[in-house]
Amino acid sequence: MIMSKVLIVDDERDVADVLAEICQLEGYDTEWAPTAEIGLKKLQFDQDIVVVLLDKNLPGMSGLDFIKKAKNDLKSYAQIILVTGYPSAEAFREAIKSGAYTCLKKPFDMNEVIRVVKDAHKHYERAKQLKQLFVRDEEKALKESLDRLKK
Amino acid sequence: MRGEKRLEELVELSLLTSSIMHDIRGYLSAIKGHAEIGAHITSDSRAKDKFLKIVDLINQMSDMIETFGKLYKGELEFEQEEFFISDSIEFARKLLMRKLSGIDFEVKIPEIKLRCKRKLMDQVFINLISNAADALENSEKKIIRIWCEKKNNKLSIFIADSGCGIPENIRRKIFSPFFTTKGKGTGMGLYIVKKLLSEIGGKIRLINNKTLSKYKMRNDNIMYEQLKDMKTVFEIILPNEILVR
Repeated sequence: MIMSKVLIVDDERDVADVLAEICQLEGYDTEWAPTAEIGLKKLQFDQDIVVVLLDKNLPGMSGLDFIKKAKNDLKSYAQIILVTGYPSAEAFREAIKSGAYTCLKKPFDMNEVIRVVKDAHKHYERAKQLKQLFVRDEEKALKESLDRLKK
Repeated sequence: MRGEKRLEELVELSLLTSSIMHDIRGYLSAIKGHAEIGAHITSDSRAKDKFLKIVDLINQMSDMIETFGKLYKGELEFEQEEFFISDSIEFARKLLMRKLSGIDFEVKIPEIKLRCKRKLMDQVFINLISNAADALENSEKKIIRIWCEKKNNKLSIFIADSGCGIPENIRRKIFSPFFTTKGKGTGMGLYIVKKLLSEIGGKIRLINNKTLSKYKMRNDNIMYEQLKDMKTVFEIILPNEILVR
């Protein structure tokens, strides 16, 4: 069975390790990326990633730019949770506007991480199902048009 | 020129402070996470209690850091509550229990209820009592005394210690940000207290020697007894509007 994966993008290894361990307790596989650039590469090529736990302040590309690139360029369905030490209302709004699923405050509660990751995972599944339905509908419509043309 | 240099120093320090706070949050997240995982996976109930105690302390610490951060950015929002002043002081005492061991902690506050931001008052008492305890480090007599006096529609709360006292030449600077005489201090404690109190229309002042001797002359007053052996006395003045009748 393929395990769903959580990608953790955080330059602080200690924090990333804890987040990974919490996700593993819930049966998720985890991947770690110390920068947004590496994170985007992993997201692009690893189809098992369903949720991303993303630090806001990263060296190089920022967390917010990661979200924009993941959503606009990669068109990824993975749900992104922004983890930030100082979640101002403005930063929260900007993250959500860019396409983040939600934000988590540091220091986080283990149960809160689990709850949010699970919710985000469900959201990912729903978004994927919707996409499949949409594609199926499109295919059906195409087929019908083709049949009509043939007739 | 001197002012410019000071401003530069302040900007540099404030950048440094916010970067340190960011790092501290990271470490706290890691420590808290490990403790929570520890509590989750252990089957030993005593170990579990210990892990949860760590989580509790980290939560208190991060509350403090958050308060500081918000204060710094002027985004402080505390909830209005009705509470007894003595409860707020008791909360500070419990939090500082280890620091206060070996110190006579005398509180003479009657049952007075306030309606204001409780957490803000807690923070004020934590900072002032903690400072008082620091001042007692090398003193023979170790006394912290807290009492209050109601006059002219205002409530004054006095927080005094029998420590080394504050030299005349630095009395004017003690409420400035980053001013500290303690090697380990950040110099933000009294500045924060002043800012917090101003949020609820309160004030704080350091009572000078002249006023102190004037008070001591008023031997008909409880003040005389209270001031005995005291070297540093802070007076918190609270407005009438926040007193609950």
